[in-house]
Amino acid sequence: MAFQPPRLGPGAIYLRSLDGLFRSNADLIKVAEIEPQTLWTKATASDSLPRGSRGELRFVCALPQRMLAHGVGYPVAGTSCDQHRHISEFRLWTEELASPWVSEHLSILDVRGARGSRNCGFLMPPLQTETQVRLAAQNIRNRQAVLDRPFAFETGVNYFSLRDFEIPDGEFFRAVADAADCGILLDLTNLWVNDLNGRAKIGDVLANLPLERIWEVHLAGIEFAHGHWLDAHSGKIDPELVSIAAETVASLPNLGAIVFEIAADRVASFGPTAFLKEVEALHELWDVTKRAPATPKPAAEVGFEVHDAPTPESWECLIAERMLPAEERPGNAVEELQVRAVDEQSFSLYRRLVSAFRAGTIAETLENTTRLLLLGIGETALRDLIDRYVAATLPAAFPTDEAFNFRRFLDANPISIPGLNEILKFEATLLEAAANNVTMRVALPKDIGATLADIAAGKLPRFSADRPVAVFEIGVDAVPFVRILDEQPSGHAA
Amino acid sequence: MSKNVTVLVHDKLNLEQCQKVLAAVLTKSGHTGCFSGLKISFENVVDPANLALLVDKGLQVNEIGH
Repeated sequence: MAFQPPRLGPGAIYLRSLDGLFRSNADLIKVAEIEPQTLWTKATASDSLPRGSRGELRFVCALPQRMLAHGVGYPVAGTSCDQHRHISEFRLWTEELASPWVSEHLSILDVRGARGSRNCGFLMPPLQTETQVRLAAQNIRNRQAVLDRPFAFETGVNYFSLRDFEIPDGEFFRAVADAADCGILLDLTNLWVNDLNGRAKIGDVLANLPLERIWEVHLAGIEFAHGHWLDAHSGKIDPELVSIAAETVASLPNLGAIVFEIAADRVASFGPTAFLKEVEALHELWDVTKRAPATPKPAAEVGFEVHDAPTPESWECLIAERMLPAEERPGNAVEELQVRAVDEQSFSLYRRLVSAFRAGTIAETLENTTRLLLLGIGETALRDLIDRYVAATLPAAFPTDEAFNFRRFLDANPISIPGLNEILKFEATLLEAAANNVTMRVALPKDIGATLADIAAGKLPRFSADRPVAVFEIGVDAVPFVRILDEQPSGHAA
Repeated sequence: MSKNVTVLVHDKLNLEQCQKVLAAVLTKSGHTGCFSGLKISFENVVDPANLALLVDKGLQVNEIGH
């Protein structure tokens, strides 16, 4: 493996809400890791490809940091692994960002359901077998070829316990990296979570990794919920993990970056000062890397036994059976794969996490609709409504699709709340204008602002059937705008 | 879990503020990021008990209620 990453330094995942902090703290935040897909939008047409705005790409490229491209949504461990549809856009971003290497997850997202390939809603771990090593390695070689850039896979969190026939975590990561001749993005938080949940001791995993292949380290905050420690990206890095990280990075001869991660919906409560303190902590770790040996201590000999093991297809079939809505499940029994009671518990956790993701997405994209539903039917009924929606529909990779699907669900399962239809129409139009980058016209009560104000004040909107109606024009032409074109006779909202 | 957070839209939301809502929508239309924990946005909306943030006209977020 000839690639030696440049030493970029400590940094953080870039979020739009942190843009000002990145631009005003270039001396502290040395690396901006861009997740391009989080900045893309997907149009509403069913066959549309997600893409980013060229203006936004230029804006991001003007960041004062060195940049890295980190893929989300197109992982490399599955039998279904896109090497075509998203590549041209991702490659464009990678080139414009001048990312020295790129990374993606050693995970599975799309599985074969009864009606074709389906997003299962979560980055699921692969079954760690010899066949899976070959599959992942081939996917990675193909991805490297189409992106024409050095590639590192991210070591993932895994809420399952190891099976007898599986290759232990460290040996598995090493086998994939060696077979693909690629780099490793060592997510120490994921390994730490796996350790705390009893899956694998972090020291054992690290002892088996090829240290010279580790180009990048991720660190983030964790959280305990639903009986498990979760890779929640919730804020402050666990001090015990910082100690482990200090010991680990001191032995990495080819480390190019250490990156702090925080989820977008945790930023406001964590605050900018705390965020910058975490990056300062990464600087202390980075100083340790300057003493790393040129030649690392060799990893332990790989000594895993090869067992007769279920195929990757069988594992993905089981994921589809447990994660997809009933009508989408493939329905064929997975006889060669014994499902333990602890596996069912893990699948239950994954389903709860998916449900939390999807509910959070609806609350973010249709915030006023969600708040009005809460005011109108109460929390218990709202949670029940969301549960029924999640159980009946497929997850969507892009939040706009999730919002449109939820709107269709509400249309098919109408709820009588004053103002609900108009607020849902208003918010869905905002989303459609944003997703399709078009100007939309919609007839709404002229005083839609009063309805929004009532919701903000925590009360049900005042409602009258003969409110004046106006045509609103909503668009995103350079800057977003909402304007009233004209007024229509009362009671004619389309 | 840390204290809950919610974001309230200003109570005199006019067309200008609708534009701010649209701008906020634009920041939420991308693919979900890379993490495997809970997304707490929904919990924030249903339980704004501990902390509320007010989005002002400049899209600045200010803490209120404390």
